[in-house]
Amino acid sequence: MRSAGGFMEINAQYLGKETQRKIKKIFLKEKKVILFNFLDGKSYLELKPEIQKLKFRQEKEPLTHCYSRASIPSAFQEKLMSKEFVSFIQFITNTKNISWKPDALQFSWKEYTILHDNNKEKPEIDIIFDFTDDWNPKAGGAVTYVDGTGNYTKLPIQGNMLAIVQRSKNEQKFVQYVNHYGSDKNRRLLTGSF
Amino acid sequence: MLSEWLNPLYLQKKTILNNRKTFLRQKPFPYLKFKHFFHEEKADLILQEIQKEKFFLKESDLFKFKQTQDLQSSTNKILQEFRRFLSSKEFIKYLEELTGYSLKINAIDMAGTVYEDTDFLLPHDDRLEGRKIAYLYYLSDLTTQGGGQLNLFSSNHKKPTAIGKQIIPQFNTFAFFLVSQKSFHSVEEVIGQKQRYALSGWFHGN
Repeated sequence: MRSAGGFMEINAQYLGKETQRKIKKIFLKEKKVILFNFLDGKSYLELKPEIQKLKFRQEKEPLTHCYSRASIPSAFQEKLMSKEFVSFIQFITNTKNISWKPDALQFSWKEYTILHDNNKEKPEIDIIFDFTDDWNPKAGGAVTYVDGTGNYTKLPIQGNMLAIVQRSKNEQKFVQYVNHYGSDKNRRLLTGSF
Repeated sequence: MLSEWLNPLYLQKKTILNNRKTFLRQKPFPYLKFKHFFHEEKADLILQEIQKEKFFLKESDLFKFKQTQDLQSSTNKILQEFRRFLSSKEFIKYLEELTGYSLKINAIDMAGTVYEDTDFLLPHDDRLEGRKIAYLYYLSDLTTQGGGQLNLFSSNHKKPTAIGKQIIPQFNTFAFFLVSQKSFHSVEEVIGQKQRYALSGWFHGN
């Protein structure tokens, strides 16, 4: 039964137990799962403008990153962590306690992140929710995982897409430079780890 | 040998002394750029020959462009001749006079690069053991709108702050800078169909 309230009302196609078992199996084997049209359509259309309303401020450290970040008010944060969403993540990742406090990030033309020894992330589970609709695939901006041996995995760019990635010890991620084909749009993500 | 390759304007003693003073006091860090540096016919030939080499896509968080292998392994006679000249005792001594830094003879890195639409190189300092002077020999003309500029960053507490200087690629321009804790630089994204060809690498220090 669907619980009321909150932003994260999951698309019914992901609510079935059998589907969730399959997703869990993929996640435990591949350490990664990508779910398109994750939220119920209405829920996504309600959440997206709320993200757009957040106050994004540019942060620029040329050696590591250039993007805009918005802090998420606590009331908003509570609505993100709906019972349904939390249960879903707990089940898929086999984790009891989820504390997902994402950042809202926005990437525009000429913005990026760079891997840097000072910014190394410890092994965790990343949850990335994408709000980028109609993105030009030539524009860059993909969240890209590297495993330290030269292997790269790019996540797709699509609105209403949820990625859950378990990062191993040597795995890091960056957001590709957004080039001029992305000059007329902003790329927004909720991204956080636990 | 220098006069066989270089524009005689750059070989005059007084010019060398003045350029050295300029180099050492440049902001945001020591650099120089010399337009029409090589004899035009040599420049034309080098461009023609580098375009025959095989370029490989290089892509990471920091960059996207195409590059040849180090030209030490090239079988192209013209490029080999150019590389030999740049690493020769005569040219190294000339560069030492210009920069005031002791450099190794026969110890340079050199590769061809081509930046095309959306290619870029994000800020970094080039520091790696042995590298003393970074150089770029431009073989294309680009405008500001076309991108491809070399951005030299000002810095504060060993971190780059803002762009302090931009060098716009111009054919037959030789630019070089001192590799140091302050030598933060980037290449602006190329926009449009104009390709940015260059030969680049490092002279190594003693």
